[in-house]
Amino acid sequence: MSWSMDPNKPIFIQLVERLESDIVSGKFAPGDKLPTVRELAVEAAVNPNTMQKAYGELERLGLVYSQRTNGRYVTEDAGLIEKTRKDLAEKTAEEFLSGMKELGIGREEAIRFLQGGSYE
Amino acid sequence: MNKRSYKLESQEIKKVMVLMTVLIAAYSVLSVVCAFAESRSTSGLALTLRVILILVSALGIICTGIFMVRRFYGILFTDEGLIKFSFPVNNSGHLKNNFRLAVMWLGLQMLIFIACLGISEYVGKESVPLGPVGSYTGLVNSYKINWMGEYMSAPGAKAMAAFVIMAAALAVITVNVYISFIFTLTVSNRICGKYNILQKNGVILITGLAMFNIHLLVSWLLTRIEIMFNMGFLFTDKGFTVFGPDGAFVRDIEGPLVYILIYGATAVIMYRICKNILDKKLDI
Amino acid sequence: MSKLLECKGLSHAYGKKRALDDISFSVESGKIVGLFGPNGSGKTTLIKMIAGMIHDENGAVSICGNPVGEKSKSVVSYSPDRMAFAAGRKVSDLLDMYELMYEDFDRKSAEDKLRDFGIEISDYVGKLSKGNAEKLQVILTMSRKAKLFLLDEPFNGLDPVARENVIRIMIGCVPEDSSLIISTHQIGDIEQMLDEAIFIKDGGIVFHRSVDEIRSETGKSLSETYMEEYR
Repeated sequence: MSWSMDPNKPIFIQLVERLESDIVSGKFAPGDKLPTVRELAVEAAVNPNTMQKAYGELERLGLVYSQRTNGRYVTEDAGLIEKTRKDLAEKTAEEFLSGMKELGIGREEAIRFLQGGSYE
Repeated sequence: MNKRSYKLESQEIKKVMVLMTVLIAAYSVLSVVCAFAESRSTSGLALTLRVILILVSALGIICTGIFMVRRFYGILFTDEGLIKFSFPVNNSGHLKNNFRLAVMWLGLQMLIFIACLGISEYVGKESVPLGPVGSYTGLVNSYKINWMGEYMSAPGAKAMAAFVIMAAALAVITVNVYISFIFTLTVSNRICGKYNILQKNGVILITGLAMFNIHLLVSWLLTRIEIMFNMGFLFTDKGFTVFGPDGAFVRDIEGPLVYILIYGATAVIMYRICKNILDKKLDI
Repeated sequence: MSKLLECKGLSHAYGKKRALDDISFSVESGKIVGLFGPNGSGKTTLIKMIAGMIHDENGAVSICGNPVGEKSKSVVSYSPDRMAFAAGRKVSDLLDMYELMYEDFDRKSAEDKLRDFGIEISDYVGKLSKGNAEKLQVILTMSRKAKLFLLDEPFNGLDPVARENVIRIMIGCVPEDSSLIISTHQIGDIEQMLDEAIFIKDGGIVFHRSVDEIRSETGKSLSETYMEEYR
């Protein structure tokens, strides 16, 4: 099944995010070999060139390295993966908080809400 | 002819092969039957059979013509043209292909037709007169006498030349008629592009009628020219005797030559126009 | 890098109606481009011109530097907007024809894909369902290693699952430096595989932009952008 994408955000950015979260969640474990650009592009139903660019970005970030003609592998650098997890978590939290703010619920109340209480 | 148009041609030949085999088989059987009948039966039956043979041959030639034209039509006027014109072949390559094959098959059939006539007369040993066309055997005999009696001398060579020119004139006229069908289709496509089927057929009909009238006009003109210049000519003298060694045909071969010239030139013009339309002004 | 496809000043009229009005644009190699517009806006006419079905003496089309002709047709693979195969033929006949006429045709890959979709080589084209016939045409077109693929309404008559399958075929088959131009009404389906989008209206190009650019600048999807443009 193709990846569900947000139609309002650039595809390239979404691919990078998705790959990052797949690495962070362990779907692609450290040292694992990644699928080829085309395989993943077909699965995601995106342009192989865009997937290629996404892979390139991951390489630039250091999350992925390429071994000549042998394909691309996830880094074994646990520290980097951890940092990426933290960055993604922060982003997700920010999105949550700004979504709650649009509902008129402030930061403190939002935290209380999460902990099971009401947000009053 | 480069490799790709050759590939196209081999495809086409396969298609036509079946029809040709059927037709040639039909001729062969018929002429054998004719010959057999003539050697055995009364001249009444023989005559009937020979007429049938001629009709079948004529039908065969017409069928071949229609078949080849329809193959061309299939490229221009149906959706399959969208695929055919995508092939890495010059657009006019399709025209050349179709034309080459058509000329080949039509020519072959005419040769077979003439041969069948000869065979059926020869075997039958009776020159059954075919009405206004005279007698085939008589004609051949008269040439034989001439060639044998005066080998390489002027009258024999003239007779040979006459026969060849006659065949050439018939060939050119046939080709011209065929090409005018192709021309009608191509020009109709150019004029009406992709309008609906009804309009398309209307345009084809009108163009076809125009072509027919032009043909009539040309024939009439040629006749007047011949009468004016007192030339021996093709179709209105007393049948085949006109081609005989003493016939007007041999005396004055300008007549058929004019035919060849006019019909030939018109055919070339039509062909060039079709080629230009396919190469530069296509619209399907 | 010279452009893969360049169109300059293309015009065409059907009788009095102008189908294309002085259109110029270019496409670089390795791009997937969507061509959008309402019916009658000139999409099919434009594609036919690039494919060589229609000539415009005053305009110029150049593919890999060559004008439309024998050379360009050997690197362009075209799937028309309607079923273009005679009904009396078998699928194997079509495979033979493609193999014979196109040097870059990958017969084995085509046969594998057809089999995946349950289309038998011995089937008669006329007996295929509308969906299968469309898939056949797309598979044949995409099984060539062409430089430019032109797909005119490849999703006609396909249900959502079939559409997804056809999209996968396209993505899986397009060679690395080749470009693909798709004309369709199913914007939502193909938005995420496009590099660029061209919107056409009344025979003219409204705009030609990168899809990601549209999304990041306006925060809107291509579908939404289309609705705004053509409402």
